[in-house]
Amino acid sequence: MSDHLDDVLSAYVDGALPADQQAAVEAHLAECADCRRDVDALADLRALVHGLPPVDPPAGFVDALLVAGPLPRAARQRRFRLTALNLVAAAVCWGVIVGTALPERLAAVNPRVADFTSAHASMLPLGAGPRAAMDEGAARSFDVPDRIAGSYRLAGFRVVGGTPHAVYVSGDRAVSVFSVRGRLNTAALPAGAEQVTVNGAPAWRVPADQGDVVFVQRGGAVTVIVGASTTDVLPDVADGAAPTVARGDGLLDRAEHAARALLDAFALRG
Amino acid sequence: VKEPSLRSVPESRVPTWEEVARDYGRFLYTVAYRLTGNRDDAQDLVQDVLVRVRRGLVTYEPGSMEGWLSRITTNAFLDQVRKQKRRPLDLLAELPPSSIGVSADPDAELAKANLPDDIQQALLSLPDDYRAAVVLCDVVGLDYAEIAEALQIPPGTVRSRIHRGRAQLRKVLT
Repeated sequence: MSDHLDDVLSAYVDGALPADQQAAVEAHLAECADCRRDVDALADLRALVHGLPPVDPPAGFVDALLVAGPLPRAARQRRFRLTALNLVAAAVCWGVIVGTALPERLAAVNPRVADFTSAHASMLPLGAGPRAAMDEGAARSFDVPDRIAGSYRLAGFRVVGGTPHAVYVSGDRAVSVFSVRGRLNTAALPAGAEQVTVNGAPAWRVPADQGDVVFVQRGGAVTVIVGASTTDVLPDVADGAAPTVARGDGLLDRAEHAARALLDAFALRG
Repeated sequence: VKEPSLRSVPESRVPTWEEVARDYGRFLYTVAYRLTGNRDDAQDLVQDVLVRVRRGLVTYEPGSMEGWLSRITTNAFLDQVRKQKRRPLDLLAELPPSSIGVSADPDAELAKANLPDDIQQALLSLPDDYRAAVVLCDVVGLDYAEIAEALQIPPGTVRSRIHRGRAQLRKVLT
């Protein structure tokens, strides 16, 4: 058998040869047992692969795609897919169970604006030194970021009733960041609460004496940010019908990021 | 895996990505799974295909929707694996023909009890270019000319890739 008769046989099995070559191969096969066996084997292989069954995508995969849209690969880390898309898929599959029942099991976080502002105020002024209210050991164990938003440095940290509370100062401005597990009870928000969006997460801004209190609901946790005036602390929250803070930009995002780091650390330490 | 009964898009216009996802999701996923061999990568690949369709990065040629989609899928797959790794594409081509010829193991008979998983694993043992050709031929059912156009390779190369792919499958499966 010549060297390239091999791929001729495969093409023969596929019916991909011109008529004259097809006839020539048939003539050869009539005389050559080796090639007949090869043709049989190739045909078997072809049938095996052709007979592979269709593969169903994971339940909810297509529905989730239709909801969320396909993501470019660059924007699609494995971790994201495992969380966001699979959660959407699960929500599509399980509907009510995942979509509503699970969040309802989370503890309700009541927007006690006065409590948060007084906790913020109790850390101000920060005693004799810049870190007078600092629980150094706790801050270390929580891996609290030293700095947020460039100029805001960590000035105080403590854990009260299981809630990590960090204070950051820049000049005479200060902002407190709390992390609370649970789901914000939005029904209890005071009048005047304005809904905003932080990194796509729902958030509510409530004007208060000590400055604004902003509640961000992200996953199973509420980040509470208490700051000076709106213009000082939340410059990136634009006015308008649908104020939005750009991703990864601005103090609010960084504060929220810091709070999530606190929360993660807190969860790890139990 | 052709699913002609599902076709809801007229042949004359470019389908939207939603139509592709809804009507051909299973087809796309099947081709993607045969190429990648695992569910995570298959899901990634299907998303890549839909992104290309959504962005209009691909030109729809009226005709077989499966042919068009499998062409996009195969090219998205090959683009990705080429980015990921520099795999010697023609490792087998450098071996003497006798070492991969189908006559190399004359007494072996193709096992009749090959399970789909075994066949899938054998497919994964092929170089990506060979696997793409074999999947387009035997899973999707394109003819050699369509495969040559899809992969932008000469017909003779299609023939040799399919044959070498099958020869290696035979060795792995017997």
